[in-house]
Amino acid sequence: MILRFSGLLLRMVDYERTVDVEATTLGDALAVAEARHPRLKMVLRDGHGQLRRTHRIFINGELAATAGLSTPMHSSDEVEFLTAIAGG
Amino acid sequence: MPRAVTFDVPTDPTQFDPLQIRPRVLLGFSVSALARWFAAHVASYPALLSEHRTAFAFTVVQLDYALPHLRFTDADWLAVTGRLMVADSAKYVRLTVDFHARGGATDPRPVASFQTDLRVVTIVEDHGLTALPGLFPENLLAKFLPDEVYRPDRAAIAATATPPTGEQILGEVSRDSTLCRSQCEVADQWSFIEVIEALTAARERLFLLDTAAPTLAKLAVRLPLRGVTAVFHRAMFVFDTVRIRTRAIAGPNGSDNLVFLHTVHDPSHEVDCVTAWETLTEPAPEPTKSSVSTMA
Repeated sequence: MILRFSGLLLRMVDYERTVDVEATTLGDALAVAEARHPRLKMVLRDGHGQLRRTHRIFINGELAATAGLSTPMHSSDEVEFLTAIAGG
Repeated sequence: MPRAVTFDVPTDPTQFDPLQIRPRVLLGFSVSALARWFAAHVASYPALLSEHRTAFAFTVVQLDYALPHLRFTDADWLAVTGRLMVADSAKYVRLTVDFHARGGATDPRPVASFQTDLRVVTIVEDHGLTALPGLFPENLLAKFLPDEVYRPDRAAIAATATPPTGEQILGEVSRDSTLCRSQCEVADQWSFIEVIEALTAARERLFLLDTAAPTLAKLAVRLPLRGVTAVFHRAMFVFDTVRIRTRAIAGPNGSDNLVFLHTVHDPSHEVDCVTAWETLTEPAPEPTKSSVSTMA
């Protein structure tokens, strides 16, 4: 499956716009990406390891408002993370 | 009366085009006024972010020019006066900035006024500076004087944020543009100043296209800007592609003005990010010492 990053998240993944991973849940997929890019975890997850509400998740182009770490994934899925607000 | 910060800036040719002082210059000084007000009365802007976890998102931005438009050789100095208030809900702050020209034949002369409502957001992590809607911290609220706390007039805000209507004289012209880092600010989020610059560029580009009638196309670049209002719905970030849709109406709300309406759209997710309109008007006669115009 493909994880797609944009905006300020690009800095966290060393400007890799897509990360190809094999996983059966969103949490597992993120764990693979975070192992490769540790800063990603600090932006996407809170102190309890849960996804922050600062990002919107799109799965196969559709806003997945209820998506969480246990959301099942398929090899053909594409997940995109969009930052809602950043400070300035 | 809210406390003011004032500062003078010497005029220079990069601040002007042949018709007027450029919007981005006034918007930039407005942000500087905001930072100066915070530093003087609350906390420095960097400290607001790093120590108080507080930042701001522009919601409605309004810049109005006084007539006649200031030209480069009209004045030596631009005087900037900024005031800040906080909403009683602690969810918003309101910045107002007045610009006057000094050191010219009609000293002092009103140049423009700026107002914006900013949504208070709370920084939730330091690496990306991502944030959530929040409240101005209580310990900092105490630094505002009673005159600096306001109750938002929702009807007035809604009216300000409602685009004008009128006879449509140009159908939609669309152009895609990708944000680069020079158009973004500290969190790689777009700068509202650059958004408004992009809208102005979209309007001027009509002059180069065959889609607009020649008369309208000429007006798009011949008339000075009387004012611009932008309503921000959501942010975009570096390397995002936006679609700017522009159309024009004449005589909105019974006036003789020409208005270019813009929508900044996120084509990847089919949402509108900004609604904005630029009002253009015929230049007023040059002022004399005995006939200084005031803001409309």
